Amino acid sequence: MAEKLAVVTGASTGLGYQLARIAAQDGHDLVICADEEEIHVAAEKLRSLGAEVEALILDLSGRDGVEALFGALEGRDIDLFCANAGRALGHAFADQDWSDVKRLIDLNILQSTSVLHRIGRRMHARGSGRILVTGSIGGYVPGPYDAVYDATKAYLNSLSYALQDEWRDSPVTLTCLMPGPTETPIFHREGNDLTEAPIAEREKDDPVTVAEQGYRAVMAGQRGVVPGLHNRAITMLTGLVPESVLARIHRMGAEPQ
Amino acid sequence: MAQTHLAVVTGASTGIGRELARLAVADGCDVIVAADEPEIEEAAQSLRASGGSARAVRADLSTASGVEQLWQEIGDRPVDYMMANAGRGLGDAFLDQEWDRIEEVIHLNVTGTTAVVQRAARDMARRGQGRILITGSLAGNLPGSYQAVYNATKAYVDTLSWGIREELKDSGVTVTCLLPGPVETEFFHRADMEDTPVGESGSKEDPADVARRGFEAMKAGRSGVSGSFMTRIQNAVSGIVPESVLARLHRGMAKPEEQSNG
Repeated sequence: MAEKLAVVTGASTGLGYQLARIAAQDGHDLVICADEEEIHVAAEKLRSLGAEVEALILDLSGRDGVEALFGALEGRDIDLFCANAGRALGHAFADQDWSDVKRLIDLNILQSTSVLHRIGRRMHARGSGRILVTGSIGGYVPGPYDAVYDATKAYLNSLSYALQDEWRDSPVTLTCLMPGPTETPIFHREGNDLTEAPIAEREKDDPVTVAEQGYRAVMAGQRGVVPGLHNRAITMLTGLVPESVLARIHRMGAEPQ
Repeated sequence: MAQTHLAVVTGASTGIGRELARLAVADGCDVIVAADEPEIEEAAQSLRASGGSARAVRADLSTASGVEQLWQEIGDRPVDYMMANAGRGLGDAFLDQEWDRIEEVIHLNVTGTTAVVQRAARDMARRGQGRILITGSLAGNLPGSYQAVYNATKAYVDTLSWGIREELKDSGVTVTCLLPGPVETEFFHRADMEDTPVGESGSKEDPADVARRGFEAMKAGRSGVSGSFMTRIQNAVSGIVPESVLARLHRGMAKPEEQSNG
């Protein structure tokens, strides 16, 4: 058994999977979860890297899912927690089904907050720990046809920075990962309704690179990180976004502790 | 003869919502006011006493059934002005807050607001006309230490307003986001923030002034409005100051005076 434990939510594919892989290669045992069978496929791949992996299928958009996750973590010391599980939802706000919107809010906001509340208390009681929150650059660039998703990410970005300040004298660190569009299944999942969105066709960032930058940032206790800033994300944003917002995003990417 | 406009105001028993309802009556609208407390009846009575046609809905707008109750009262009548104002704050350090109270804030500020706005947007887009006013907050621009979840919910609301405004651009429906700074209302008492510098501050804005600016911007179909001149400056500053510094500034406003080490 390794000396350190990482927990990654939404780890079956995409950024979550990459974060779990990098954590495993860096010597962490893993507890990973997702709401689909693929989590077990992911677990097998990660075990082949030498990590002990516990894989859970649970739906973090419901209270039961959060309870099940923390049940599995009972009595374990958690060194790194990647609060990464999240969804998107395309199409016009007025055309979206309320149940889909509610589920998005429940997953991206309600349960993310619940998880941070619980893991925050545990890590403070223990006196150590690192947390990585997957926000998004979309939180600063409110978009039509992505409105609720961007708003949920604005929530996560804001909450992350607030908690960092509250915890500034504590041994627990929290890092906000804010990628631009990244090549992961988020664009292709049926429930996310993004397959017809223009963004699905555009060139996106490599999830391996994004995850690497995120991992480096959280292990260094950085406040925030905007991977891909100097290539695709910035190209996409320039001309669409006011200079003052661009400048702020630049600063977040470069800001020292 | 032009039909009388219908205005709906949530969170209207006190504060900004009550002032918005008053402005709607003065503007010649019929008004439906909603809140989750008995005071809403008194608020409706007071509006009727000033010559307006007002009905009260007592409903918990953080729940699906509450939102349904509101729409039952609205019935088939088209809504001309939807003022989604209901919301509450919560002070103290995040880890010291009780989860149940955090959840209430999210249900009301995020889920409930989204449900009300979506339903109104859908109806209005079908008709090709309507005005939506959402009470966000300058706090949406500031990561809020000692008020973390509240500020985050307002970041959500402010961002959502902008996104759907863009979507509805050519539909005849406008979305306006009201972005006040600290306002002299029940907010601080309800959020347990009376013992904080911002809660104690004598320089909060008058809710009537804030409401008037919001109502006028909504009628004109503008995108957003800050409260007073000072909060406008703060708004501009928050675009050029790093997030971490903003959070530190916020701590100075919102940290409770007798903070025990935790």
